[in-house]
Amino acid sequence: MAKAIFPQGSLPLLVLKILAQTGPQHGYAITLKIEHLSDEALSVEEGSLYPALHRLEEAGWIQAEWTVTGNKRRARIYEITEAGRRHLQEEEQRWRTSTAAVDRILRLA
Amino acid sequence: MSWLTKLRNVFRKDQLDRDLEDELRFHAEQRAADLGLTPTEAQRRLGHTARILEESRDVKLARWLETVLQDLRLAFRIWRKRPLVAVTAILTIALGAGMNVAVFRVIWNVMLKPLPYAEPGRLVQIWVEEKEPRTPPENVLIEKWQHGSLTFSSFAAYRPWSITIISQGNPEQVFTGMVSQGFFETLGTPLLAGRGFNQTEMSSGADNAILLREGYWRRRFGGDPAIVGSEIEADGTLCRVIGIVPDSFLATPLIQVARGGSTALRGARAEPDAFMPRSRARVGGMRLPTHTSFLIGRLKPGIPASQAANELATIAGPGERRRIWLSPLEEEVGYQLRPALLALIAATGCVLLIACANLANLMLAQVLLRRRELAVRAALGAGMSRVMRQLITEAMALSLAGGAAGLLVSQLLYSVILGLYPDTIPRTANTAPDWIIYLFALSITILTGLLFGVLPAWRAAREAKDESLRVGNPWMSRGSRRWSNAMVALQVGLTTVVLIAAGLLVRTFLTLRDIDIGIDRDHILTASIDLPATRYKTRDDRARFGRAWLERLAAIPGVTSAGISNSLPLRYTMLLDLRIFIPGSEQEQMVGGRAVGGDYFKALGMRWAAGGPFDPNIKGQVAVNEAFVRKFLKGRQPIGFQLPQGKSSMLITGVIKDVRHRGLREAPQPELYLSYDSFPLNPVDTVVRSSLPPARIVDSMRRELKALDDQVVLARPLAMEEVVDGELARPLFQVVLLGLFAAVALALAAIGTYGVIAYSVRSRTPELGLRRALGASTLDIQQLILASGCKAPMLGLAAGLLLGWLVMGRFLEAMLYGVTARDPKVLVFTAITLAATSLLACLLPGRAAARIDPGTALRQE
Repeated sequence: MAKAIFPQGSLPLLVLKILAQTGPQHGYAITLKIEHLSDEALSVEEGSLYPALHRLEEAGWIQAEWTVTGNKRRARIYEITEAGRRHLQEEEQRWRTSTAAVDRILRLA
Repeated sequence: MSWLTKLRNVFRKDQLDRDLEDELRFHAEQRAADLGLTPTEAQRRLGHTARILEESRDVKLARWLETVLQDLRLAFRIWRKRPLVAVTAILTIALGAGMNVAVFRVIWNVMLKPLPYAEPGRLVQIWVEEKEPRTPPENVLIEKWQHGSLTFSSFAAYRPWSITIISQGNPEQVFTGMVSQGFFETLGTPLLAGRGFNQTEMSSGADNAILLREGYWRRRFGGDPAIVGSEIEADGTLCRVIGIVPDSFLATPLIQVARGGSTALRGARAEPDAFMPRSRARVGGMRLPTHTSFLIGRLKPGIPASQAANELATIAGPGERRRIWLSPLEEEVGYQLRPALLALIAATGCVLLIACANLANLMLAQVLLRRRELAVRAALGAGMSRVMRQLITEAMALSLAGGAAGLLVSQLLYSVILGLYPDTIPRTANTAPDWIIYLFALSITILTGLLFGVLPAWRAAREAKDESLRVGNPWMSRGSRRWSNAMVALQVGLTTVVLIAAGLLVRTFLTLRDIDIGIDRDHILTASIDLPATRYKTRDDRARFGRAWLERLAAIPGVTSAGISNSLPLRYTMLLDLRIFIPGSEQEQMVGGRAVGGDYFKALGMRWAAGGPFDPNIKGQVAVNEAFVRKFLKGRQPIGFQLPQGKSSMLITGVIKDVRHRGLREAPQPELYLSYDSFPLNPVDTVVRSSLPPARIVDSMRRELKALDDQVVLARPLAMEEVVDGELARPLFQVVLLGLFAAVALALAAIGTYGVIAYSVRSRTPELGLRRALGASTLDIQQLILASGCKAPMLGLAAGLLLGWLVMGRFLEAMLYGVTARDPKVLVFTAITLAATSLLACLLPGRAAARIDPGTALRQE
């Protein structure tokens, strides 16, 4: 299956969802997760993940902290906040509604 | 990310970039490890690092700045719609911040600004006793130290003095610093022109040399550079001007100890206009081993003061009983002023806090009116923290505007403070504010904005959340009201403390004003004459002058009595140090001697406790004061007592009532009064009693003096009343300023209390109307408002009284006289004043509440 383009505006939603389900992660792990969960169908343009993370952080939906990993590397770990969870819920709902609508139109056509 | 972190990020851009880079590098390395790529390939997969960095950085910085600007624009729009609130707030902040900035500016100049000397940290002033007044060491001791000390690199000794300089036939008395060799070198002050004194000039009798101060040189000699190297007539001889001392040279810490504080130097200049070798300075033309000089030492690098003090004590020898102590020169500037300044800044700090409490309440009421708007904005996605930040930005905008206006207030108050102080406050002449003053103003403004902005923002966020879109009453909730009452209690408490301090200072001032100084204040004129040692060489020369002068004074029409002395009460005190031997005690005792001639006692209105004046024609007759009797002649009959002195003895003919010679608050010291004929000392201080206007007497005195000797000057003619007022000027300065600050505090607290209660009455209109409708009387309503309104102020008052009771003593002790820090009168007065003010603040809204018309009130619901 060909690699799909990344649906506009869905990256923040995916990041939040992953963080909500798997707990605190660093940026690289989030990249892997997205690729893995979408059966490799979606691939993140790796660089674009970080500005997105920072924007989410700015909005207060995730929070970040520097930690030291097992092999003594400094890594930035992201975690979803309470506000982030609420936002995720709303966004998920909205996403479903709008994709369902798009689907319906596609089927009609 | 918190608000603060973001602020920090703006200033720590590099750190931020490093963090971002770290994060990306981590990603690339992990990727390389997982897929077995080379680092470059992994890096390429990541994309354009610089672009990512840029994007992320923008997210963090630009967004923040942008929202701040947005908030500021919004704040401006909001305050333009409520100009009255905005103006009130700005004025309050201007007042509070301005007061703090003005007082801080004085403190900065006096206490914090580095001294204009090289490495001032190594300079110490050396004292031989800790008690007030500070005692400088004797010249003999100084010589020992100069020869023996290894911990000091050099010493600078000086004595304040007064000489006569004659130029173009005009004699003028000039305040002069008599300095030791290496004086300017020790302090590290380069001269404007010429050089300091050399060895031969320092030793007396040889080449006469003088240094002039820049300002005096410009004023008197038109700044003529040819003056350096030429000769002028000073102190009775021709002296070569060897150099010019720059005006920036600060002699103030050197002369602040010149006794008499304010009055000593009144009429004289606060900074010496000339400098001469110390060897010329002789009390009454005599050089005695007991004579002292002020001493500054420069410590060798790395030597702690305690070690140096130990060394000085060792050199002084076991015979030295007094404690030798070193005080950093930096702490000596205006040391008498420091307690007052600290009290003033504490008071202005309290006023600012009170102002903040007022504003917090004002803003709280304002902001809660916008609760709906805020709730809507929060619901539309702004987020609660964003709304709070908006409110704090609004407060900050007000605060900055107020701070700018506060700079004007501070400029005004600063000149008022300088004008109120009796002398020149050290280091305040012609100085534009330092950048640090502006920094202080900015920080205090930001602090103010935060202090009064945070509470309303937080409460508004809370209430907007609680009642988000519920339609309801526009008034604040119970929780907010509790906070608002807490603010009232806080400001009343702070006002209580300030009021107590002001009250204590008022009591101190009144005590000092009414103190019995042992002399009359009215109809007495004083002046000083300096006899140049070169022309009045012998005792006989000076005694002859004294007799002739007294004769001429007595002949002036309208003069009832006249006297002379080497030292008048509350003027610059230069006593003759006498060693006496009291029978029955082991040791020789030191006692201050005053040589008086003419009708000295009568002219000053001094009173006799026993006996009477001595006969100047009989050698060896003396009078003593009560303090002398108390200290040395316990229980013995003083009149007729023979005091052995050296080979001869002195006969006490009378005991005079104590006179506060050294200052209003200083206990009288034992003193001996001797005949001026036998101890003709210099200067010749003159006292004249007359009911004629002082100006006329001074004219006559000047004429007579000119006829007697046209090369001496009648210096510093002052009415005794002025001299005493000069002594009161310092306590008056403290009282006026602290009183002013206390009045501002009281006014702010009253307004604050009134505002909160009036608000509460308005918010309870329907309830009160219902009560009225159900039959409550106007009195009931008033009582209800009073009971609920007075609770917070009373709580604050109680807390303030308790705080005053606990801390005031430690804080104000140095400034109080004749009153304890827990003076019941002051506490009761404070309590009554504040209780009455709070009551009044409750009563007015209470009356409004009682007038509520039940019908209208209920319809409003």
